[in-house]
Amino acid sequence: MFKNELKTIFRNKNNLVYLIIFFIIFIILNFSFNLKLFINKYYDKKINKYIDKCYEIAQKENITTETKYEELVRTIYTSDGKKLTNEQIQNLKHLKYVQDIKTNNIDIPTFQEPITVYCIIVDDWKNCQEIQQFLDIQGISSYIANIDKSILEEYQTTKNFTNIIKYTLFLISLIIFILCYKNIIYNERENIKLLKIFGYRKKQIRKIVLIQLLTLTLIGAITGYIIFRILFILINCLLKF
Amino acid sequence: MEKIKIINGNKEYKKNNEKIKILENINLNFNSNVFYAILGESGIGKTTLLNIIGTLDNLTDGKLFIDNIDISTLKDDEKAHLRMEKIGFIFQDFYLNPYMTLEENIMQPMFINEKYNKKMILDKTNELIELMGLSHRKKHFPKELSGGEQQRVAIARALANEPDIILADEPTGNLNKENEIKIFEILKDLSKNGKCVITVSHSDRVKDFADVIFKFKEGNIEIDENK
Repeated sequence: MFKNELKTIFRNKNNLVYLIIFFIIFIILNFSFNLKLFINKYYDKKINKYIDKCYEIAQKENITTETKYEELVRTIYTSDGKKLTNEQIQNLKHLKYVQDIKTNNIDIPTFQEPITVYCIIVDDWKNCQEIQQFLDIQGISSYIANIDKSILEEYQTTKNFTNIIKYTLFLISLIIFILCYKNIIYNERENIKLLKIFGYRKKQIRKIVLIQLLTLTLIGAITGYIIFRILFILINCLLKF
Repeated sequence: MEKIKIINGNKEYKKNNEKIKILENINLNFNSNVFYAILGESGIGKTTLLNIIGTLDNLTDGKLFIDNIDISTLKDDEKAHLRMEKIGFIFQDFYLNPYMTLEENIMQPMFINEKYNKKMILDKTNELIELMGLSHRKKHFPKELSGGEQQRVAIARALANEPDIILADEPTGNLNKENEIKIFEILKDLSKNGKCVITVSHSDRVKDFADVIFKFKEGNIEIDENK
């Protein structure tokens, strides 16, 4: 019973329009639900670039004053100038949130030996405190570099805004879905009438219509998801450069 | 054998708070092996009568019996089952599903008939296609068929569940003379083979084929004595 009815929805060219609408909606929905991920990746890149730039400048100009480093984000600096042992460095590198450790040797004329400052870059500024506690236990004095507040504020606003976008898009999609379903059922009215005349029970007719709608939605969802994954990979590649 | 009986049948509609009487105290009997034609002008209720007999519409007042079953006592799903089992419909506009091939259109009513399995559906479809002389058009879609061929598909579809009653609403309304005669001949043959065939028509040519002719006049039906 359903096989023949399903064939008709694919033969009906009007349904192609709904199929396209469904898969566009699913791409948009996938984007909206992963928007936070994109925002995080974007800001991560932005902040990382910023850190690298600051670090580069600091190394080039051999500037180690706190004012320069204050601008850095998710970075902890050792402050006692002591050299860490290789074992200590390896231990730090293997810590859960640690992304990188950079070493900076600074020559100070009044000191006989250059002092060493280690920059420990953490995956998220929120995790800096945990790493600092670990350093305290290890007897390494340190301070957390402050994040550039403007970037943080911008990041937080954008993050909050993504929630609004997500739910708004979800609501719009839901309305479009309902309208499409209504139209598909309206276009199928002749067939529904015919099934009623043949003696199909209400439950059977409902089942047929539901399966037709679900098939269209499912195809739209699968196509939308595949296209979204491809776009996701492309965007990730673009963000890397 | 008596198939359909209407006792004191009344049908009225409400339009703009005004009651419009379509059928007034109608008493009719329809038997097997008879080809009935209902004649009358447009818009006087012929199709409404056919829809009532086909359990697609209800009488406002009165009783309708099909095979001695009082239709007013049946629920919607029971009526649907009765329609599937006992009634075949033919329409002026053929009413074929444009996205189904000829054979898929004929199969459609059989899918809900519990007495058919998959193989039986295929066999029955092929038998009906052959009966209607449409074997060469099996995989064609309705738009690829002529009007006469489309109506023959509709007749084959109406016969799919082997109903005892065939209701035809202006079956030749969209056909030329040649095809009209062909369709009336098929309907006549069906009645000879035990079916109760009731057709509503504008065409006078139906008089050459029908066994009993009813004339519809202002809500009442009279037998045409000239037949």
